[in-house]
Amino acid sequence: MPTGSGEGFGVEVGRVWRAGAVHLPRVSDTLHEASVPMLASHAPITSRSGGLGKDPGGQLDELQRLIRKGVDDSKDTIDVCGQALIWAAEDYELTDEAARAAYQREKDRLD
Amino acid sequence: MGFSHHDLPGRAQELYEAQQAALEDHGDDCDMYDVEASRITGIYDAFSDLPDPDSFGAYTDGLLTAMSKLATGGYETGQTEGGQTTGVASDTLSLVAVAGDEVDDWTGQGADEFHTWSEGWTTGISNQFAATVALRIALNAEAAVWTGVLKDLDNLSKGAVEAMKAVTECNGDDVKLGLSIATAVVGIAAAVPTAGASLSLVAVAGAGLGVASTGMEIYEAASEEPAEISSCCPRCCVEDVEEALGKIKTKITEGEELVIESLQNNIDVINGSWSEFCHPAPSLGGVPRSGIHAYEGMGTYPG
Repeated sequence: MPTGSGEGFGVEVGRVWRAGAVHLPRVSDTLHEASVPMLASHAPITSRSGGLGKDPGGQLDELQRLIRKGVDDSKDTIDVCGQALIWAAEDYELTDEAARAAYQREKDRLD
Repeated sequence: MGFSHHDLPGRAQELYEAQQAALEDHGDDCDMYDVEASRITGIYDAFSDLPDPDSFGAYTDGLLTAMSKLATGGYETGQTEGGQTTGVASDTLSLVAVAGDEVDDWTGQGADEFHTWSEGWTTGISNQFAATVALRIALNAEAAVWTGVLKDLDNLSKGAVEAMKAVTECNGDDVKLGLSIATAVVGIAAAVPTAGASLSLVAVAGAGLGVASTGMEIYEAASEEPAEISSCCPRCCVEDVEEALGKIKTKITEGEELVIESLQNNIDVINGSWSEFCHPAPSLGGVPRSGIHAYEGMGTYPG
């Protein structure tokens, strides 16, 4: 386990933790909210009987599926990067009280 | 209650009754007054099951929500009585860049790549935003097709009854109509203009961002194609209605082909440039916990 000491180091490690545990999860939540409206099939609104026109429901569904996959995959990437940053921060051994106190202050910040 | 395709059987019945009245009054003189009953009562049968443009609103509203989450900058959402309405950038997407800055001072492959990745990350999201805009525009264009169809069917079925009632020994006035669906959807436009996007995602022309959820504004912007229903005799009247219905069917197909073309173009663009549409994860995202500090710096993991 890597080690470090001093207030400045504690702040740096705390910021890495905040990036992974606070900032990126907010982005992940936003992407999830973007994905949710794109779940429904278009068949109920575009289907018709009688052979009129050319139902675009299949293409509407496919474009929506691609967008949703792009958004969901982006969210997954944000999630794994966030987890890695949390691990990176938590796996430092802070060897003095100044570092540990600064690290905790960063974790406790509300903004 | 506005007109719906459920009103068509009633309109067909009215047409039939008007034809019967004309036949009774004047049919002795001319066989053009006699039309097979089922030809009239079933004249709108092909339009008995249509998409309802009002049902598109829940979908386009949902996409507007998605757009608000994926917007990396301000954008236009539509026209209201007060003018153009705009949306603002999502306030959380920039936190990826903030996270990237937090690791900027750290050494190691994982930290370096994450920082670089965070700087370009919004390009992919902007492409997803542009694709969502294009999808919403296509839905609005499709709704506009059916808004136009219903308006045309309403006018046509009313005009048909009017013309049939005017049949008086071949000297009634013809009924002139304007069919609007003809130009409701006019073609494929250039790329959707969205800041930060790198892909050219196309939209249906005339179906821009500033359209209502039912596509009514596209419909209202459309010009009309003239149609005429003869009041010369019942058979001529029915033939003209059938011809106008055929025109409407053709225009539905043409309008929907444009919508499909636009959608397929976007699907092809995205499939052909997936890594631009959705940026691959940086190496930091693939590092197991045991490897985070296994080598020098953060996230240097050869495996």
